[in-house]
Amino acid sequence: MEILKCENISKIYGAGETEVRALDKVSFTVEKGEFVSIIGPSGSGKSTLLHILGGVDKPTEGKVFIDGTDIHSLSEDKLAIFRRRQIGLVYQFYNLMPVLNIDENIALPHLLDGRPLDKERLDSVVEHLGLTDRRGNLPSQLSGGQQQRVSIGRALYSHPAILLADEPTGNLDRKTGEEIIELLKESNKKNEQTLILITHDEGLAMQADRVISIEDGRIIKNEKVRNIV
Amino acid sequence: MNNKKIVFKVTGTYMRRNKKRTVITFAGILVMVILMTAVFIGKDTVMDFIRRAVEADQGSWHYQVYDVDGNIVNEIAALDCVDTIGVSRPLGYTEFNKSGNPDNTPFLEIKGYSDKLFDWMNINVKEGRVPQNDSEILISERAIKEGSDIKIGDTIDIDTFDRYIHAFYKEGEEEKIAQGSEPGGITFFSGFTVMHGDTVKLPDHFGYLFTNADFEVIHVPAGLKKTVTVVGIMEAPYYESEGQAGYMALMKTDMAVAEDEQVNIVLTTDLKSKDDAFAKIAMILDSHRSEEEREKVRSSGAAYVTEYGTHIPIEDGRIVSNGMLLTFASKGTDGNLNSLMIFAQAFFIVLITAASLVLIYNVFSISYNERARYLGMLSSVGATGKQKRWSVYYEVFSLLIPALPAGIILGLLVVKGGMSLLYPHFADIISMIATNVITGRSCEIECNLVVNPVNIIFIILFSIIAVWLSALIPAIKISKVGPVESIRSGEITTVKKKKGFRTLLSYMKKGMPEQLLAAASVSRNRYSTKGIVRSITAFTVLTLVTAFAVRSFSDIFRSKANREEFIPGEKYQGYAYSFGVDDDLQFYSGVNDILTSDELDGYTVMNYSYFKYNIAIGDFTDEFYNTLKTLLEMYFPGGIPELIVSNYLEPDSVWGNPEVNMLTISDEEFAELADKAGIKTEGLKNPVLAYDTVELTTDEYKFAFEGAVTPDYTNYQLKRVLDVKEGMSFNMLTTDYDAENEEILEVDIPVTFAGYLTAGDLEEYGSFHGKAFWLFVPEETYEYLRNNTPDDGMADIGVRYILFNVNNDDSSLIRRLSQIKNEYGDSALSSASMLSEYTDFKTAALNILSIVSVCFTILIAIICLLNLYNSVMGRRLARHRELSVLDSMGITKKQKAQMLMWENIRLLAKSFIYSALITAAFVVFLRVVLNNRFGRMVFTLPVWMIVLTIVISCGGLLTFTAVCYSEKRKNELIDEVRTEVV
Repeated sequence: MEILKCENISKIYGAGETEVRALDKVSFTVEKGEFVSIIGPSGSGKSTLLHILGGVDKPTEGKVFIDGTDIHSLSEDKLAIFRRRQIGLVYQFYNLMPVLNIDENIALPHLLDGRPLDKERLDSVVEHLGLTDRRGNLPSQLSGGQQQRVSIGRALYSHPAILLADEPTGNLDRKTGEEIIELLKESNKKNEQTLILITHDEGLAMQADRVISIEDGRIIKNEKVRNIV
Repeated sequence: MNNKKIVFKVTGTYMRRNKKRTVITFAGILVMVILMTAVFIGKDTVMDFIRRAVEADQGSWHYQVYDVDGNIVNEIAALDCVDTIGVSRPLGYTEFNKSGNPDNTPFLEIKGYSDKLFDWMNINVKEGRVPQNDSEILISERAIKEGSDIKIGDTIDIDTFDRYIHAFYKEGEEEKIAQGSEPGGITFFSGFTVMHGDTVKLPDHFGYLFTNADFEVIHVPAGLKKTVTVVGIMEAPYYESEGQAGYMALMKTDMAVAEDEQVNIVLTTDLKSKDDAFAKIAMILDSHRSEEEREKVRSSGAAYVTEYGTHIPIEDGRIVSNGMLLTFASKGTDGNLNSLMIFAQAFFIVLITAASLVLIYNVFSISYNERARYLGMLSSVGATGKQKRWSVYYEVFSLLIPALPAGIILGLLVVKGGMSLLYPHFADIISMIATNVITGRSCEIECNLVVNPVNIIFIILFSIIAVWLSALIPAIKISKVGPVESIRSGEITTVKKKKGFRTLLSYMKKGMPEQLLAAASVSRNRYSTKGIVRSITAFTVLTLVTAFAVRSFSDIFRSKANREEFIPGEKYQGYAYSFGVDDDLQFYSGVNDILTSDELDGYTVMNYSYFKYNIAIGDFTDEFYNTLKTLLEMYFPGGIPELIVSNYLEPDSVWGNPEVNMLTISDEEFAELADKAGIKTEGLKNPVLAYDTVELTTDEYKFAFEGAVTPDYTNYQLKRVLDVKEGMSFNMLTTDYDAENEEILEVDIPVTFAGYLTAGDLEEYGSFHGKAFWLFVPEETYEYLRNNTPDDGMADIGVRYILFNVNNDDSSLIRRLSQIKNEYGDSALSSASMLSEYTDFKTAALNILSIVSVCFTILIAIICLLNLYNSVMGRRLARHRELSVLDSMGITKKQKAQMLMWENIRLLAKSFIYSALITAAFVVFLRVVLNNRFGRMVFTLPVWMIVLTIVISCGGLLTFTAVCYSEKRKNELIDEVRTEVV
């Protein structure tokens, strides 16, 4: 079942001589529960694509359908509500709320959606992440790996339909990075969440169901992993 | 290029990149310089304006000295502090055949003026010119107004005389005197007394008298006999009153004074001289007295105590100073006023410095991260702490250099513009005083900036000190930035503690993410919120402390201003005419005329009395007694003399007890007033209400005793001083004279004390001051008191006016009432504008200073609001990533707005708590200092200012939040963040 569909997405920065085409007519689809890796060198347009898929940025041309809804046709507030219900974003630099502790950061998207706290579920997520003894700490009091766990904890707690991860291990050591990928995969399998992972680590990308390669804003490969293998 | 130059260059680049922040810092420093200029130049300009207003009204002379001979004139002229001397010769009276009012003013009262006096005494020639030789004369316009047909070119034959009065002995009095009794005397309204059997010269400007059974008026030739030509008509000089027997006429006189001649001199002094001119002149006069004369003066009046403690007998009225002029030229004998002005000036400078300190500190504090980054980098290439410190000084002083000339020029424009804007208000006050009270004429006073070079130096000096102090802490902090700081980037929240924070479960359980975010942001991110809290606190504290200080200075000034005991309020305003006669029959006949007239268009009755009754000191509280004793001890540090004790503390006569002032109101008004104050008066017999405040001040007492000193101005305001419970009675004391036994008897009239009224309760009736205890009585009690008060010659127990309007310009009622004269021969009908006579120059000055203070507070508020804007903007920039995260998580606009609102509520609450604590500490300190210096005073609370400050704080924060967090700003902010990094 198709959950995400991109149609001819282009993103252009600047104009005239300074014009930069970050994405050039990108089209692809993703099935529900699928794990897709997007790989490509720096400046290839991976992060721009992820932001457009997450509704954080707008394409210059083209459409993004999530569950059949053209997300960029929504009003700003409707898009915000759509985003908090359907999308979970995991960034390289974690992007946690610096003033909230672990518990609060994990529960925030859920609370913003007007849903009351499910304390038991929160406790189990925190325990699962191995952060029980640090739950009162602010992000600045945590290591990089711990912060990324919190970031994933948000996705585990409010289980959005699509999880978009932008280089989630790029700032972590190998061992911690592996742990984080395991958590993401677990969330993908356990909650049937669609996972789109941006990375330039080919090894990591190969753990996905499908790999999309981007170069100069264009898709140059879009293949199932077993085919590659 | 050395390291310091590199630091300066990098700092300069940083300033150019962060234009907005640099501009705000510059604006703050600029406003600070403007304020400094306003304080120094504004104070001098306002004082100069008031001084010239006083000059325009009372003349530009500084001192007048009466009855001095040639030797004394020479000695006074030789004083270093004396600038210029003019001579005024009282030439005597002459018959004035052309008088239009021969029954009351049959003479010309002639004075000879040397040249300068025509200017100094504000002689305003309406027509013609001033006399240029001793055959010419200038006549008062009053003569023409009262019907004389005198005109320029007319000649007058003058044959001058002095007026003497001889009081006859009463029948059998001489025998009694021979047996040792003291002779009786005649005391006139002006206070002039002549003892039976004596022949004395009448004082200048005395009213017309004719011989009767009690006294004889004698005209003694003064020797000037000639024909003079009228060359000009002048406005009535300020000293000419309607009651005097001669119209003022001026001739020119020369400066030479013979040794045996008695003249008056008028002089100006060198205002820069530190000498006490009054004391120097008093010493010269005293040195020419015989021991007998000296003793006589000493026993009849006060001694002037010089700053060295010398007691000079002065109280024979021979030295008159233009007190107001000297006070506003900072040379008054009233040192407290000057010290109050200097205290106020110092206070405002401290406030300005505090405001700019908070602004500059905040600017550096909120941009610490950016600075840490570039200074850390410089540190890594060898910049020392001193060089980093200099980056801060470079930034503030490079802004101060252009701000100084610009600020001084703008400050001068602000003062000039402010004075021009306020001029109509000033002119109203000044002309009201000048027109109605003293001279009866209007005056135009220009507003000139007074720019003293010394003040400019002070402005520059204090601005440098303020900026240096403001930059000191940031400079020390920044000098400690190490290379590692440049590596850290974008740390929004710096948490020193290792322990975690308690989860705000209550908000989470209730599903209140906006409140959760707000609470967490304000309580956990002090780094970015403390700038805002500091700004609001600074704004609130500085504004309120300024308001409290201004209010306190005003309270002191007001209490110091010797205002009338009673300043009528709204209830007695708005009437064109007032009618009042002491004679009962005439009063009631006049009142009847008014009340039955078809022309009457509204009226009210004002009935008050001063010092008619006393209340036994035993009926007052111990606090009152002890305060009175403390006050008296200030006059007599060596111990209070027995005579003073028996006159004030343990009175042996009715008059030694505290006095009572009384305002009578209608029974209905009394009931309303009591009701308003929550006092029950039903069933009380002869009820009275009392004002709850009494002021015991050093201005109320003067002692001429040996050993009495003149204490610094002190004011004790006491509340609820009557030691009588509500509903209980106490006695109003008065006296009766037992002619048979030649004895003064005490008369006690019991009344019932109903309760206390506050100033607020009495607002519509007026304001009440002084050491006398104010009582408010209904007509019923008034009649009771009247009936029980022995008739000792006074027809009434107070002053009664009926204030009214008429509906007709040519009113027969007004014509008829104009014929009724009061006891002193003046018309019983007068303009009700007399009520505004209670305003005096000090009150005017108070109003002007209040306006200036409000302007000052506004400017201080501008610095603080700039600071607040800067802090809100700084926090917005620091939260860029935080807000982006919220956006990515799907926060809606409404939720964001709610979050910001809850944050603001928390920030305001936090700021107001700090503000209340700091303001309270400042206010208590200020009050303690002022009370120690000026006495125990009750200071009023600037309630409206508190409300206004809170409203502006809330409005300012909400507005700035709306501006800084608006969507339009979003893009700009991203750009700013990019350019924040050097």
